[in-house]
Amino acid sequence: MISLVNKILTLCCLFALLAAACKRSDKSADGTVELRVLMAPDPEGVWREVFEDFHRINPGIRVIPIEGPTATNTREDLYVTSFLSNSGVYDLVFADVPWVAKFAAAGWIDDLSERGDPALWDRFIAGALEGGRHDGGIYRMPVQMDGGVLFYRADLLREANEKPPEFVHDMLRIARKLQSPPERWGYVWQGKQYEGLSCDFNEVLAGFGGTWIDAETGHVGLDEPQAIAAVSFLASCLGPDAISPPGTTTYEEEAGRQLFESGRAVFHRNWPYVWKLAQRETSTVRGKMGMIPMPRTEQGTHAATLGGWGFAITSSSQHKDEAWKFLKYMATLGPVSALYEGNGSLPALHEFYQTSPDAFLQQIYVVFQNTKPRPTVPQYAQASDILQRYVSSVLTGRLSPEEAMRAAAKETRLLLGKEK
Amino acid sequence: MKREMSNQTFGMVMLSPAMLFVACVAVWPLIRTLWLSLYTQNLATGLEPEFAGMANYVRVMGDGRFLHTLRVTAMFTVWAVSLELVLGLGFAVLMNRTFRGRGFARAVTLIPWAMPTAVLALAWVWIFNDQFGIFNDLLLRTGLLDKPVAWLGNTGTAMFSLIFADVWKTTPFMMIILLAGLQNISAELYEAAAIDGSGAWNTFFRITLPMLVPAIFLAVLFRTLQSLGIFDLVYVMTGGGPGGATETVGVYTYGTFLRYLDFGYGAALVMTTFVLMALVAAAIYWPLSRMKGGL
Repeated sequence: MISLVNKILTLCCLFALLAAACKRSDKSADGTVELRVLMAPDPEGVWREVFEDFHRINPGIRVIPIEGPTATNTREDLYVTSFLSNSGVYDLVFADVPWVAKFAAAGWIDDLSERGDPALWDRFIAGALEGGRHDGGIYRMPVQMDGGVLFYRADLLREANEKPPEFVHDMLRIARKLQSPPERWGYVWQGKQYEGLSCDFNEVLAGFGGTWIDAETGHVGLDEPQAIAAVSFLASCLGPDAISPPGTTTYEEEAGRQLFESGRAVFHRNWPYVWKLAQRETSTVRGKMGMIPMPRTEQGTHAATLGGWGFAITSSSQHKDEAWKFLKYMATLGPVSALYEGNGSLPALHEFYQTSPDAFLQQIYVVFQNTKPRPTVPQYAQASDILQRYVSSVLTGRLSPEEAMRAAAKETRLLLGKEK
Repeated sequence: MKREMSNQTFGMVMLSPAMLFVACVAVWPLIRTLWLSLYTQNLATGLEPEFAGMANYVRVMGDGRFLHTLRVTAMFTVWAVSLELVLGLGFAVLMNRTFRGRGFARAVTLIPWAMPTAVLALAWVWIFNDQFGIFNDLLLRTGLLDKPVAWLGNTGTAMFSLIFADVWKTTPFMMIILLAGLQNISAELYEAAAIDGSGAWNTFFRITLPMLVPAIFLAVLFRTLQSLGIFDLVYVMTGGGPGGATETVGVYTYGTFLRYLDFGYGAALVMTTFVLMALVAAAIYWPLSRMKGGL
């Protein structure tokens, strides 16, 4: 009997502890304001350093990072669940680009444009800032920037007396000339039905001069000739006389990187993180690679799909002024340089690149001038799913480019309420 | 009379914590989902619920993507569960015999089932990779293929790969239930059969299989319901691709809720799936409940 009572008491204590842990305390014992934010794990402790530095300068405020899972979409789900249950746990959102319009439209994050003066916003690379815009407001301050780039084998191109390609047809020609499948492929990219396919398509589309969705006017351009040409180009990479491996329709970033790093690709579309990894001792292509913006056609522009992370302030936060103070701190050179040194994440501040002599950073800066956000509409997740399904259908030969893009355009217009 | 009543009351009191628990985790969410499915609550309404009557259900009926996911899920379930049943039965019969290292063998065969699906799914992605994958490598070496195949990248082979991975993972579960069933069969029956001169096959079909029918139904019921709700394996291995060819109901519903934030419609999808699954469960359970000495 006594042991039963003990057990019950222990259980009660556990529940009490749990309840205490769940209960939110806005201020710690010494009256410091605590700002909570859910982030990816920080194994190097780089972010913790940044938060410590901020706390040293602003002793009254402390940023408390809550380390979530590595998978981006899981963290998005966690934020969504928290907002839906009105838990009010988070003061800040460390947000990916596609979240912004959705969170803003749902009323979960605040418009920051009024808080910052124009000079503050001018410090950021235009593309990165663009990723935080919704409905005329700015809902996210960019911190780290990412953009799709084309890696190439500088050694092979030099031997063949070729310049890094500016145009799509040059890239095709060089890829065909220098490849020897299945040992070495001309062009390796992300063709699985997932968000990466939308990213790849987004920049190829811009290279062909097309539009996916114009967030301002609601115009959908997926069934226009440029979009059909863009899809046809991607499909032709896999068709007869292929320059991409058949498994492209299953590749995410890592599968392609493995191919490129083991010397089995001439061109490789990926994110800048590949650079650091492919320059390691173990890499076959160490010192043999270059990086350029994605090629274009005569009608299009070089484009890099915008990725990256930034801070938003939650509408439910009790400490918006303190949160804004922290955001302003993140718009300075000190913390973003520390982050770059610590984990290689690339800042979104002009100043950082303009003051650095580093050749890699200069190449990246060029790419970042041409970033293109994915459509900043609240229904983006659904629009992206529609696009992925149809582009993937073309890549696997189930639909012709015309059929697929007509259907994709129709569904997208229906989604945005532009067509009944 | 009075005494019986108090017995009954006492029983109810003892049951109430369990019933309360079931009400909290099963009945309440169901009622709430049903209620939600009658409203439109999405980004267009600013996430505020607006009464919509049966509109969501009308939309479900005309939703080609949903019907497609139903077909995909049904096909996946039929193939996976059938293969698992045949293989599971084979393994169960094998494991029911006495041989050296039986305990070890039983434990080892359970490993695939005990591992987290998402982790396994990631491994399968690499196994089925066209350039680095071991699956292609084996088939090329044995001469069954003359060039590598992107298993997850084609409509037909992607489904095959998912079923393959699922069968590998869940056959042990089938096996363990069937093994329990086998061990319930009295040894006297086999003895009698042996005395009557029955051969191994005859014994299997005349004694083992009929006696095992309740266990088979039970295992099939569990596995079918699990398989109809399949999410993790598909989500990690193909994400529903290529071209939506492997999208299951679970993946679609998840997207509608958490990615599209279309709660009213998501709830209608869930309720529709719930009714369909209940019908399937009833169809399997009904013969089981009629069996003598069934559950």
